[in-house]
Amino acid sequence: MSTSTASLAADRAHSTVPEHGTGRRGRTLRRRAGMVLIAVFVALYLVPVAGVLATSLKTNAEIAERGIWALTGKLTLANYVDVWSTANTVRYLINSFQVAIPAVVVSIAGGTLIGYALAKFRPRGGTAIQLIIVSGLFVPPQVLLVPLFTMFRSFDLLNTLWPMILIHSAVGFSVCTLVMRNFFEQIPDSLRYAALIDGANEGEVFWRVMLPLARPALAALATLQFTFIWNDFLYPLVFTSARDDVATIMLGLLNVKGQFTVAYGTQASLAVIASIPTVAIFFVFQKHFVRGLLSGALKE
Amino acid sequence: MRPTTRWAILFMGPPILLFTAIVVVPTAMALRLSFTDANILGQTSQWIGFDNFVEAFTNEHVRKSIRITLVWTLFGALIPPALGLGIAMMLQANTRFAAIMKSALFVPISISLVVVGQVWIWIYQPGDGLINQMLGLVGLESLEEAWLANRSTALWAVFIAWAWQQAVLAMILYLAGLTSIPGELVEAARVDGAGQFQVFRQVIVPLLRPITTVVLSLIAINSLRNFDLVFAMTQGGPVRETETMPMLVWRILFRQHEQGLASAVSLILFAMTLVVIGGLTWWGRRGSYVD
Repeated sequence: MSTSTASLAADRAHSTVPEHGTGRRGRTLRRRAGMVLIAVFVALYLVPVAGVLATSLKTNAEIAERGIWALTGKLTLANYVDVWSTANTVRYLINSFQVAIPAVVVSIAGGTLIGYALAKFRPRGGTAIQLIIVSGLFVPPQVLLVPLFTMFRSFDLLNTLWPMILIHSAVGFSVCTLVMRNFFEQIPDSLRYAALIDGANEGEVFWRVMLPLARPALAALATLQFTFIWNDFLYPLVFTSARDDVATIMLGLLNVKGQFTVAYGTQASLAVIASIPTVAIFFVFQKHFVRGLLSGALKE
Repeated sequence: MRPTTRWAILFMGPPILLFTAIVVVPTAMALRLSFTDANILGQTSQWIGFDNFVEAFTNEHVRKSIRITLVWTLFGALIPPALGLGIAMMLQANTRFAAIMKSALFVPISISLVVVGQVWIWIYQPGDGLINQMLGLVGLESLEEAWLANRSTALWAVFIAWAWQQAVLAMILYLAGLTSIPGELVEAARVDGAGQFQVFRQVIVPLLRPITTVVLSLIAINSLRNFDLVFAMTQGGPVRETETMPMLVWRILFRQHEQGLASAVSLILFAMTLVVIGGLTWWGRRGSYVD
């Protein structure tokens, strides 16, 4: 992988040098100029991100006076202290983790079990099962809202965190099954047979031999699922709108945004706090994420 | 029963039960609802056949939202993938510098659409909004605009904010795709006298076709179910100019309380998603070199 990229890069560097040649110094200069251009592009692309960060560090009084995008002023953490101590921020964060962690675990565990069974046990009707589960990817959430609302109400689960945990677990089976089935398809059956001959049963083969191999794909799915579940606000909006103490952080953020009395600096600092977990996870797992996702998304 | 069948049931049984309860049964219930005039939760409702679907296809608001969703999906399939591929080509070098730039560009895709919506509102708003400030700076005050409140600019304003995020998704996938292209192939094309652009068109783009299929599928799904950003930025306004199908379903559900009609519209959206994904899958297979 690295060799091909390197030679590709070398190719490109070579072809950008004019035919009459300006020597090594010209090439270095061109590369430097290219880097500057790229850095400028990336900086411009990230202006919205910088905007949230900068706004979160300005006082509300100053934003009111000079406008949101003004480049002046002192930076302060006052908004963060404020948001952390007065609003329900901590409660929101705890709620979000209480939804995301179980739902990530259950969706990946279930998807892995289904994907493995489809790829290795090849049960009769497996194709149909796969088709139904993967079609879950294409069902718009709005299709499910009314029936689920009726269902959760009859179980008295409205205004609790259960609807989100259950929905995200089940809806997540679709993508997790797709990725894990494709992953286990690529692992030769001989590995499984060898372990079976050594006296292990199918459960042990799965747990001791196959699951450790799947670590990169599992990490990718964990990143994907956590981000998706953490950032969702549709289900909390429908199922928990009556009680602020069961709101997730995204719902809390949405509610704050709707209140015109809440100042920009406060909104921005809450937005930053809400984004830290997913941004951090992306940074940590980014290599896994790309590779794992592709290994699952592309067959063969 | 074959022993593997028993293991398969043990493995798949519990998750499939949960999936059935939360996804399959509710979808079937929505289908049933779409043939009724249900309008107050829990009340008995009458079977009215295809009336909701007839209503959906003749109602001007539904037709408009279908149009908005289709236009969004079409431009969604063009702009973010093209931009994402461009950025990926720019950053494909295997250097520390490129790696840092890539990591920085991961941020837009990891933050929520609530946050994306919030900051883009600040970019578009009249008064101290970023765009209007910039226009003022270069003396073009006459072009200043309340971008999200103006009927002719609102949809594109929301689309740009969305494309800004989705391009990063495309970039991530294309970067992975580019590393899988053998350097020798590019080299061979060069030796045969191909220029930069020809190599791109004749070698790189065809080899990226499987990735392109994945990118287009993901972005098409995101286009068709685009609710979060519209809800966060405009809630369908001004005067329903940004009312995508999911946003319209929301409105029918929570403002008009017509569950039957809402279910019908959401199922039309489901059907549209299946058609688009089916088409993309066919397109991806047709051009594949592996077959």
